[in-house]
Amino acid sequence: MAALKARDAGAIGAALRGLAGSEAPTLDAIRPHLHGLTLDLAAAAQLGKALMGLCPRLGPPLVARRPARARSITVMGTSHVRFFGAHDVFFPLFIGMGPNTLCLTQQSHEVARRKILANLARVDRDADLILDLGAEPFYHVQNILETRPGQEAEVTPDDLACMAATAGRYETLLGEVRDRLRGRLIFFNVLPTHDPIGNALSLVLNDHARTICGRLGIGFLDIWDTLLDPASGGLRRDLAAKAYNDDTHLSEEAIPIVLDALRRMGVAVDDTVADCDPVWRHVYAFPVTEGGATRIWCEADVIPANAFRSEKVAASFVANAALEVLLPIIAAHPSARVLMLNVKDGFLPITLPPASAAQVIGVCDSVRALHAAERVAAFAGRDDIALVADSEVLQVRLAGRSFDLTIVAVHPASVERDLARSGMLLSGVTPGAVCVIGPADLFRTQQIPRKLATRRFYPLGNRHLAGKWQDYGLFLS
Amino acid sequence: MTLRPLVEERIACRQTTISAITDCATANDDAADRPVLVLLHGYSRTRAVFLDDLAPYRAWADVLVPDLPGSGQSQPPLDVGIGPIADEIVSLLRRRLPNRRLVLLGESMGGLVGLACCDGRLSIAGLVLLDPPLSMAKQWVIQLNIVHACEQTAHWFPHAVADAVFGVDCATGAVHERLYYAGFAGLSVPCLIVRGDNDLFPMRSPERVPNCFDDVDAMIVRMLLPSCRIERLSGCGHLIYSDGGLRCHDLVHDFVADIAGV
Repeated sequence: MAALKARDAGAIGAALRGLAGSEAPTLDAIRPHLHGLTLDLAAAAQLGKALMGLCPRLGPPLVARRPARARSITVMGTSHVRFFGAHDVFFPLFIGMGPNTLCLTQQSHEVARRKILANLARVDRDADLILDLGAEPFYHVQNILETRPGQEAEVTPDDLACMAATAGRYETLLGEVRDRLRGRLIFFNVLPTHDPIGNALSLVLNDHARTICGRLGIGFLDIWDTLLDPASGGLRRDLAAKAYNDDTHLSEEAIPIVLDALRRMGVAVDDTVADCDPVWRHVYAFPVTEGGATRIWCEADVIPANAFRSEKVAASFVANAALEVLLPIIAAHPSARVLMLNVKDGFLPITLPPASAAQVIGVCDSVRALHAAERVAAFAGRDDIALVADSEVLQVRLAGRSFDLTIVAVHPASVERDLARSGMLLSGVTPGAVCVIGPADLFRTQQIPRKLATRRFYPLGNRHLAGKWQDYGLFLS
Repeated sequence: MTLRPLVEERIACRQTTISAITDCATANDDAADRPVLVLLHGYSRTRAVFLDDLAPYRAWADVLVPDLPGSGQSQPPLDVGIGPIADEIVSLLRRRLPNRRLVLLGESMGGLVGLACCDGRLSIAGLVLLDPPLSMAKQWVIQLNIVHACEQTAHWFPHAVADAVFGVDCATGAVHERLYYAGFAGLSVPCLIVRGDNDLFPMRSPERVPNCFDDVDAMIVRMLLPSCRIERLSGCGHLIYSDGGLRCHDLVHDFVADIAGV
């Protein structure tokens, strides 16, 4: 806050403390202090970071939602759900790490149940839902919850009793989830790992789960036999993710197997988009419950330890950092109208805290990207923002509109297309102040549409980000 | 009591800026316990259709009369359909009238917008639909009028609404069915439908626009929402608000008196 006058800093500090102490913090409390404030960009970023941290990232669960733009199957569960993001039909919600979503003990079951039901309240109840739990055998063998203190070398009666009790908790939970859905509930089988005892217990648990699903009238997605390598008795290496040695997560290569199995169950899945580039370009994290955020993170081969290699992590970091700089500027004006171009799967508008501006319009690159973004926005309770897809009619529909701020995102994989799209869409628009999120050399290497002319560059990237994102920053007019 | 003057406001909503005429107090004012009657006009019309006859309504309610998105002084939304238009109206009412008792009155397509607003996002005390068109393929008068209206303008919005809302492709003249009954299933807001007596087939009075809402619609609505009150005004065509005059007002007033105590 070095650039703030002492008087301003005092008032803003008091307002921030007020926000921190509020049960329902909103930007309205601090807006009057932001109006007319002169900040350098570093100070704005600091203030924005504080505001982003204090303001809620989620709206309340929607009470009504428009029908999904296309077929959608929600997938909810542990880190195993991430490979589902390789196909547009799936909406994968990584609701908690394995240890947070276990039905191994009554206490852990309560935690898992809370997480599942809280997330369930935010998804489309008309969509089918695949529940992907099943980490219990693995963590039981690891004795993470003190359920296997003896660490015996073979399966014991206590192990079998533990799996039976786990299955009983599954049944309770599955019944609750089924009763809250209008779509079809499908339980995903426990997957093979590379551990013989874990695999033996997984087979036992799958037998229980199959019976329970039959009893409850829900689907049981069972691809165990296809995933198993008969030679090793463990998960097929060609279908396993490669985030670390002996990774037990499935890779995107397993998607066709899942699709085939779903079709055999009578679940209609169109595979025409199976060969398209994955639509997900960012990593979302929403604090739905305590004990870890719900993430939409569709990269099977990435874990926190190698996240510096992830384009999605980098794109999300840069977009978030850009919003930190811009939030104090946006929030200073309660009637601000903000246009965001090339938002891919919607990260920029959805990450801007609710009620930051009077109007936020995010333009996704395609209808596929819009479908992804709309599902995220609905999950996040964000019916206050408008998302649209670039199309041949959008330029006409935007013509004549005025905005106070236009943010143009330029993605490394689509620099020229993003710039061309922005130039076209802005041709009939009064964009207000213009910001471009792009690489430092953007203006030296590209033909820049006239309306994107900017003067200052504020770096956002760093050497811990993947590839070209290291040199990314914010160009401001 | 002295009525507040009607003023025009421009309100930035979710993806449009909506222009509305209103005398509404804010939630903190002394008149905040009065209901707010939100009047929603039909296709190819504007709020102007309501303004001349507002006096009896203003005696017991505050009023908010927007130009629907894409009509009059309001920007069109970027998406087209009853849903996107309703989203903007919901956004308008959330921003301008939080915590007020709302009664939505929609004429023709405005009724469809009002119905779509009653999906739980807002606390709405009552819904009044004046001759709503609930199934489109049979609406020959609408189809003729829409094609005529679209011939008068090159603007994209009326053409897009013609297709998305009414199922009329103005370029080819093709008509596709669009049904709006689903909104009544599970509707938890008290609802009044007012219809006229100038049937689509055969038309009784060529001087009045035929009614869109017919006996088939009434039967389906009653099946989906048995509590729905359906009234018929004699000597009225599609434009119930103006054709019915004070008789229309009295029906609305009595309905609101029952549900919201005015």
